Amino acid sequence: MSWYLEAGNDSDIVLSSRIRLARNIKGVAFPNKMTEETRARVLEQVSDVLLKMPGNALMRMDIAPLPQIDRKALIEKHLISEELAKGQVGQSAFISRDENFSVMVNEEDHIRIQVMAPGFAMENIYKQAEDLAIYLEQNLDIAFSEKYGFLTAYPSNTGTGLRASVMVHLPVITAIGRISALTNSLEKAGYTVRGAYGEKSRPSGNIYQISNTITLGISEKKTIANFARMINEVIQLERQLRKEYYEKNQVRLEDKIYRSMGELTYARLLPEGEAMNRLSDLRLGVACGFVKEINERQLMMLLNTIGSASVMKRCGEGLLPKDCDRKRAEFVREVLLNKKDEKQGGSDL
Amino acid sequence: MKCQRCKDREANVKIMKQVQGKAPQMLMLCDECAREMGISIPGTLKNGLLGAGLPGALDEGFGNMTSPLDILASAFAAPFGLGFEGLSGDAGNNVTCPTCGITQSQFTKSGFLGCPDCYQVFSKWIDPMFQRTQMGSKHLGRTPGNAGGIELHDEDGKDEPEIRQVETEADVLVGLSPEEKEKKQLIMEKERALQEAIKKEDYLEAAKLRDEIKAIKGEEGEQ
Repeated sequence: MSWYLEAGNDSDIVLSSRIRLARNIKGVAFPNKMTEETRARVLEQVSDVLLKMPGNALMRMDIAPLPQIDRKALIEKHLISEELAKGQVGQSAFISRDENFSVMVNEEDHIRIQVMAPGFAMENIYKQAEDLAIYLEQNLDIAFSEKYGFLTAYPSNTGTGLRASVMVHLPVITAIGRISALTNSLEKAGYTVRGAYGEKSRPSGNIYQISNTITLGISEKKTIANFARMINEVIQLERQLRKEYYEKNQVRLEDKIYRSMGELTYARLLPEGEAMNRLSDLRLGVACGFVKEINERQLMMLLNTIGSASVMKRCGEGLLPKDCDRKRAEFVREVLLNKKDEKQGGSDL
Repeated sequence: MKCQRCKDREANVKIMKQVQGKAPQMLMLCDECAREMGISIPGTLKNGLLGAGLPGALDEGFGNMTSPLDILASAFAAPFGLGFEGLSGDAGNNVTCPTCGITQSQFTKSGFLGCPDCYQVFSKWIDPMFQRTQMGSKHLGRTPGNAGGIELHDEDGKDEPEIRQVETEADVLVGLSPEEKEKKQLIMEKERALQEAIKKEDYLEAAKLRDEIKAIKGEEGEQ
């Protein structure tokens, strides 16, 4: 079963948690300066070690032979990045069956370990990522300096090479127009707020990705503890604002959310952005306790499977955008009217 | 007053530096420049995550993340007014990494280093940048192949107490001869008494104990 079909902690606000660790091989140029030959060699070296890992559950997926649509679907599931999707020589991903674990090889760094979990679960997934990192460090010669820590291609990752992030749903902070104030406060404290698909992406469906920016001069333990404390504050804040907002605007909010439900249930054409925003409303309705027709798990599954690439992958490539919107509408409708088993969405990696 | 860095926006962060025997230095910055220089004064977050006057404003939580003193120190240590792009200002000194061939101006332009050795080669430019953007330029995290000391705890979300490296008596005494063991135990006993004395502010007793410890240790050194 895909990881995002499980229920997580604080899932009214936190959709998912993610840990990323960056590592490079000693004495080898970083991917931006590598020759094709070295790329291929590094891939085989890392692949060898990974696939020999005791109890290995990772499957190797070379990007170059993959059709564009499959690459996009992997991006939509956050399993690979845009950078890796270029599919240059030596670019591969190693992905676990339940899709919570992936290792990207020859992305911005030689090795990027990534672990995801539903809801808010920092320490748990950090531990999993660290275990794999330790295994790799013991079996590969990793670039490390006493002074700078783990060395990375982009200096802002060096040190721990650790990026902790959460995907959070902040509809009310957004609705009252305070998201930029929140972003500023968090930036001052060493965090960054972006859209769900990282650096250049725009937020959609009131979903934001918050991650740490400091990797040097701080331990992993402290990074995780500070990050968790800060995210907890954001959670409490959004929760309290939701409560106050709902109390003050009950009828208006219910009206808006039920309209969104109507649209999702009966629309015949659903563009992606619109679907995301309406699903965001539904999530808020579920969290406020009055929407009972759907649960957080089903919503999470929908959010992860209604991206254009995922829809095309299910329904066949070459789908026109209009047909894609139609298929998306059909799929959402089936879930909402309980005609579809919620587990169907995730098995199409 | 205008910000002294960008000379454009209104300044609203005042930074003072006082060195003994010298006139205090003052620096006025706007929020944006302060942020770019890595200055995050915890006090500015006292109004909560969303600024002042909103329900749910949070009072605590960020204050202990970074010591404001460290941040101020790093702000002054950094070459003034230089952003990342400013690194190329060191004209006529285009250093090249002998391992990967990347030049300092290439690094400055793209922000990417070419290989692990670049860190040594370009440390002169990298260190001040880390002083501004990171919490200093010294790694405090894991070393390769070793765990980072994170332990999973109960779901109640309570913070774990900070784990400190504490030498227990048993650890210290392992592998010593009986005489050495006795001496070590004596030193530890006196050290404990010394801490006690300091706590009670009995400095005469403390001085006496310190001399005794020194004497025992000195004897040890001569062997």
